[in-house]
Amino acid sequence: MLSHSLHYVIFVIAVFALYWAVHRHFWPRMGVLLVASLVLYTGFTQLPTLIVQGNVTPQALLLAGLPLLIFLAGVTVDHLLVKGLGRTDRPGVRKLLVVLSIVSNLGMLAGFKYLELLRRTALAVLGPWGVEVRPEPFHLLLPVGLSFFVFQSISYTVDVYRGKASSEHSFIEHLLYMLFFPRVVSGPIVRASELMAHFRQVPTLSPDDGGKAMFRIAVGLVKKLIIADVLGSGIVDPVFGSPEAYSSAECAVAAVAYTLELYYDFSGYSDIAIGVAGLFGFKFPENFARPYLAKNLFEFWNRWHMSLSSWLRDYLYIPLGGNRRSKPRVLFNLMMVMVLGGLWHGADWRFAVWGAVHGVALCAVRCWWWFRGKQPEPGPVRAGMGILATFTLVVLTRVVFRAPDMTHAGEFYARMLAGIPGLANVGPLVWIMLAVAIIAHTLPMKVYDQTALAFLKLPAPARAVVLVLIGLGIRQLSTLEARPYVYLQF
Amino acid sequence: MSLKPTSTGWTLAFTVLLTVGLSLAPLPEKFRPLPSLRQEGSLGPKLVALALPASLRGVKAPRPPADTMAPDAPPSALAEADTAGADTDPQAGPDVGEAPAVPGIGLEELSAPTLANALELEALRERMGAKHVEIELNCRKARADGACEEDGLAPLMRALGDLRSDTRRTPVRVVHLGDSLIASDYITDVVRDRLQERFGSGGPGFLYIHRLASAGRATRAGTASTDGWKMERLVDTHWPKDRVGWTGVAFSTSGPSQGTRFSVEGSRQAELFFLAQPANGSVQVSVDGKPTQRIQTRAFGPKAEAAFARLKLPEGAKTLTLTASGKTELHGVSLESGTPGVVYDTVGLLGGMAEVYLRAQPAAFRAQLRHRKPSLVVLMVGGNEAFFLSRERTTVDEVRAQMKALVSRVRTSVPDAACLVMSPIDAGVRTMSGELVTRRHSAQVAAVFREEARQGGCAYYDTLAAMGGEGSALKWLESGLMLEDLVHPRVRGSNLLGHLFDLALQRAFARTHPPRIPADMSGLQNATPALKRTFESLARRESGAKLRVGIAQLGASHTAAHFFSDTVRGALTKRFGDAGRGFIAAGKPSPRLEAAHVARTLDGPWTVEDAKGAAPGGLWGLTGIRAVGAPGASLGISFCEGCDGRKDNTPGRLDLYALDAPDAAAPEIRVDGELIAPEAPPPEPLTKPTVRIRSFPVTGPAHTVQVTVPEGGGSATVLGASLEYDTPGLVYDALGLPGATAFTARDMDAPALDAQLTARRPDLLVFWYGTNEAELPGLDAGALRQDYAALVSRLRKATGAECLLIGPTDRLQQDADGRWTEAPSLGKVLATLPQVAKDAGCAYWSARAAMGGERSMQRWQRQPSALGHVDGVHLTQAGYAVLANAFVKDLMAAYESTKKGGEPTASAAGAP
Repeated sequence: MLSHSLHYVIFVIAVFALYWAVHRHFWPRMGVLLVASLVLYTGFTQLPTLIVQGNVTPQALLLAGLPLLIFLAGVTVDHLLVKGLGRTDRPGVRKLLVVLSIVSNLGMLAGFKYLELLRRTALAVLGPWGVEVRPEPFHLLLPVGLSFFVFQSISYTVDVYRGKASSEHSFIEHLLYMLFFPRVVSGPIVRASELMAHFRQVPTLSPDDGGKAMFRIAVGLVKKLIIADVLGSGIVDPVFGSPEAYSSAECAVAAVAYTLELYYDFSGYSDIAIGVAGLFGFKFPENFARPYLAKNLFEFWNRWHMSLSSWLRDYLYIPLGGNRRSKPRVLFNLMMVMVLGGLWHGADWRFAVWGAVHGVALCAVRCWWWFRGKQPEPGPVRAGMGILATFTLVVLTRVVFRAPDMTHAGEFYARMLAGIPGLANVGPLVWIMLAVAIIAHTLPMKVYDQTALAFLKLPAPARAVVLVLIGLGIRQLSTLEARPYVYLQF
Repeated sequence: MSLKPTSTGWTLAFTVLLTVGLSLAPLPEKFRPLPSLRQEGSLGPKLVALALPASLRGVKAPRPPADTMAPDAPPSALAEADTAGADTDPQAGPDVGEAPAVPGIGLEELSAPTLANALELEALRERMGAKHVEIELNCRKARADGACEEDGLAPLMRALGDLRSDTRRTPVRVVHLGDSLIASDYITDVVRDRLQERFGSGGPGFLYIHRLASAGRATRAGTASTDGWKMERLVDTHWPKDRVGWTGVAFSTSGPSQGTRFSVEGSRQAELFFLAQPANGSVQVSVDGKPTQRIQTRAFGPKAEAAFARLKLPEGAKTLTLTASGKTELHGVSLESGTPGVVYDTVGLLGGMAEVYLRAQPAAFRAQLRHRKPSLVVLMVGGNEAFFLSRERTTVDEVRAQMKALVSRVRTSVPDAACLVMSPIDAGVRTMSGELVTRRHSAQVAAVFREEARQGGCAYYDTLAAMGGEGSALKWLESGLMLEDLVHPRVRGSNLLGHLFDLALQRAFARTHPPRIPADMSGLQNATPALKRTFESLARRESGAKLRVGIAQLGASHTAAHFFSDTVRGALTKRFGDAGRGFIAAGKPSPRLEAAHVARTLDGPWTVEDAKGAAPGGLWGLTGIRAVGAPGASLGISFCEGCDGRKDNTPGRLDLYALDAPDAAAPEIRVDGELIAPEAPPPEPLTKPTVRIRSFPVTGPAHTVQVTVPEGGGSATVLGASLEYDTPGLVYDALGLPGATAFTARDMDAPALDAQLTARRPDLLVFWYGTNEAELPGLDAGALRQDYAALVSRLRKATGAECLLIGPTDRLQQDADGRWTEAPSLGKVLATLPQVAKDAGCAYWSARAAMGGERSMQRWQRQPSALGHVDGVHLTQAGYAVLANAFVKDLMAAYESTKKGGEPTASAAGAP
């Protein structure tokens, strides 16, 4: 049940009604949210099919429910470690406990996500030297949302270790924090201090907050189902599928379209997640801040997938020394963060390459700043050039991100640079959607705010009419087949 | 939470009410948020379906789509449209042109390897619930009284019939136009390969200058220097107007010279499709790198028009290179073998639909189609039409009008050709709720196509029903036969579609051209109980028992050629161990023995006699041969010449088979150069010739026996020699006499033959007579049955071996006009030999069925690498190997089945 589906909308309405019916009472309130979260996550496993079809055997149940069991096991281990952290002040023990948490979480991620990559790499590198490496794939299951789960898990134990989060939360609260349904699949990565502290407060929802949340959800659906999906199916998938069949200009348009698709896809998802959380009185951190208007690459990363960027900053870059070390070490830290951040996106070396290229570019910018000194806010021309240069770099590196492997990426680049003219295969709908995507991204925020305000001022029946009209518009304009979120795979 | 009128709760409640209300209201669909609520049926289940994800309703959770498209996917799958389910009743037969049922489902004429693949696809069909659907023939020409004079496929069937009867000297061409489903050629290659196997290959047919897309296969195109060619397709937004015909794509260049290369092995004719235009362009033709001619593409008039240039390719040509200079536009190249056979052109345009093919310039479409002289034009579109209908980008009336126009254009362009319209296949969509559902509108399109085919006089094939009807795409997806786009079948699914269409064509052909000789059963028949003991011995051998398994194959030239038996021996000894080469008849040097590392020499005055035509009762060696040497003559047989892999200390036994007679000289025998002491004379003087078998122990793998007839005495007769090692394994004797029949073996002196054969210690006797009997005009089938059965029974009794009969290969002969016809008694032999096997308690394997049955010899002759000999009787070395592999496969399948404790199947490939 993906969050842009009708089932999800109905699910949210049902949970909304139940939640607000019992919201004044802690345990019923927690119970509604936890059951809803468990039901939603169970929907991503084969358990419902198994049960409905009646093929219930212990072995089949275990296999189908394995993703849920993995999460439950992870939460249990972390909860015990957090409780241990709360009960001791001895630095050595505390360090040991937090290290155990990090190791167990990263071990889970490595085991389920990266073991196959390691095997393939070992086979390719060591195989020719006669070293025996398992030739068969592991066929390990990758639970949906594991990458986000692990990062959030680590953030909680580390925050408890650092004294930024409380260790006094119950197991149910801990479990709900990890599985909270608006964000369980693809984030945003929410810190414990931002979410768990609110579990114990009686929630409120003013008409304005509720209106904003609904408006946010509607915007997210439009972003995802109209802009992202039309670009994806209209130009990105065909061209990336067979770049040789398209002109260089069409390949370039597809690369730009993919860059926009990715933003509208993921930010649309984030809008829905933030909006749904808002309906239950929770405030999630923002995940995007119009990233393609960034004037340099550092700014881009401060505007793109902000919950991940800030996580990498707080839990990787700063522990490595951040900016406060020698210049070579700062550059090393940057590279390390970007390569690992790249690899976080998928168990394939092309993601590491993608991250490394960004790392090199960030290092170059950093060196330039060291050499020239960081410039004050640039003028409009320099800002424009900066935006263009940053966007170009992002577009070019996205090719590696989107292509199935490096060979395909190479073929795509070769085709894009071959200088073959012609845009015959870019249909009018794609042009329109590209224009909409670019305009929507560059519009001043106040236009968005004023539109939201206008929606908030409407009486409930009029809001309902607007929402239904948006739904009808989505139905008419979207591609018939809704596509899963791009970030679902990460 | 506040419950003011502006509150969130009220907003949500109003939204839900408005959504449900509008959905149930009698409004146009586009104004109803949830159109499914107003569809037929009670509201409850529909609300449940909306509220509960598919997984909670017992439907498998959708798999997230693959990050990238599978390698076998046609590109731009999402731009490509799809097809949907239909209300078509797959059980409902065709309403027009239905003919009497033919036995089987159309598998009868496939060779063993193809049959094996076909049966795998049949098993897949069963699993998927796909169906054999008959082609609706319709009527292309009606009499004045309204009765149908000629059905929609008649021109094709006539042409194929002419090929079959060898009265046609030109190829039978099929032009198959379609969408992305055939762009990768996975459906059509099955049809092409099968048709070419049954009716001969006329060559690859039409190929593009370069592949149209990087994904999928590149089998239907040359390899061009892509950067310099401009490719314009009818499917493009700005398609090449007024230039391109049904070939659909223009490859133009106007700058520096641009080339393209084709592999032309086996082709003798090529034809360039190009645009003659008022510009200075030319194409340099090179074959294997050598320039042969230059084609000017300049038009004589002011207008551009489709043009053609025929090129002859020298025998053995490997590559054809076309280098275009100046302003040139090429559309493709056709390659043909120049021999009668089927040529199957495919043009698959991504996004292809009837409207797209109508974009072709009518004159060019007509000129190109007429030039091709097709016997059949297939139109396979509809997926995109269904897609556009679902998006309201077109209407049913438009779809109808477009198909009507396309059918009309085809019929008027080539009025003598048959045409066939195929329905779109089933497809699915992933809805916004993540649910997989059948795509709508395909049934509608199929119904329109069916009607337009009927009205236009074209045949119609309901691919949708064949696939399994509505909902089959989802089933195919679950079974990995469809891509995640739910539109395009994967390779295996495409193969299944091709398989179903091919068999439908074959059944249609079989109705108009029933086989002259009833098809015999393919595969190994009656393996249980006939081969029970042999299989037990093989199983024990395989599990490590130290025993020898002997197989002796008696027969005519197929056996004497050694190619068949060498392949069988190689396969069996590889699995069960090699216990030696076995028996070699005395005779002249023969290159056919080289593969088995055997050499023969005859020096001096030798007379090699054989049993054919000899008086009954003669003493002959196991192959029906004897070598009679006059004084001073010398004969040698060397085993394992140049072979390796066997240890030098392998102990073995070399046997010499000879005739001893009252006046015969005692020959001087040397084994590996060492003189063997003469044998003691028999206690009683000989009164008549007697078979003598002398056995010599040897060590090591390679041995030679040399027999010299001493000077000054009488003659000596040598029958042959055998070499066996004292190691566990299998010995496979090939005992063949060219031109022999079962009657030949019957007339040989029984005690002598029985004694020699007994000495070979066979566990299994394989008899392969019948091919020469088929040539006898007045064959007495009763006598054949009786005598052959008696011979087999006698030899079985003498040796204690089990038996297996191999039926004759397909045998043809040329009439006075040079046309090939079946040998006169082939039918009788084919009918009799299974009876013989039954009478004698033998297993039976039909070589002709394994070749593909009716006229298979002709098809084997016409293979690019000929499998059938030009004499219509024998096979080439490659042909014998193919046949032997089929035999081994069937034999081992029966063995495996018995080993597992079950009844052996008729065949690895099975019997239709």
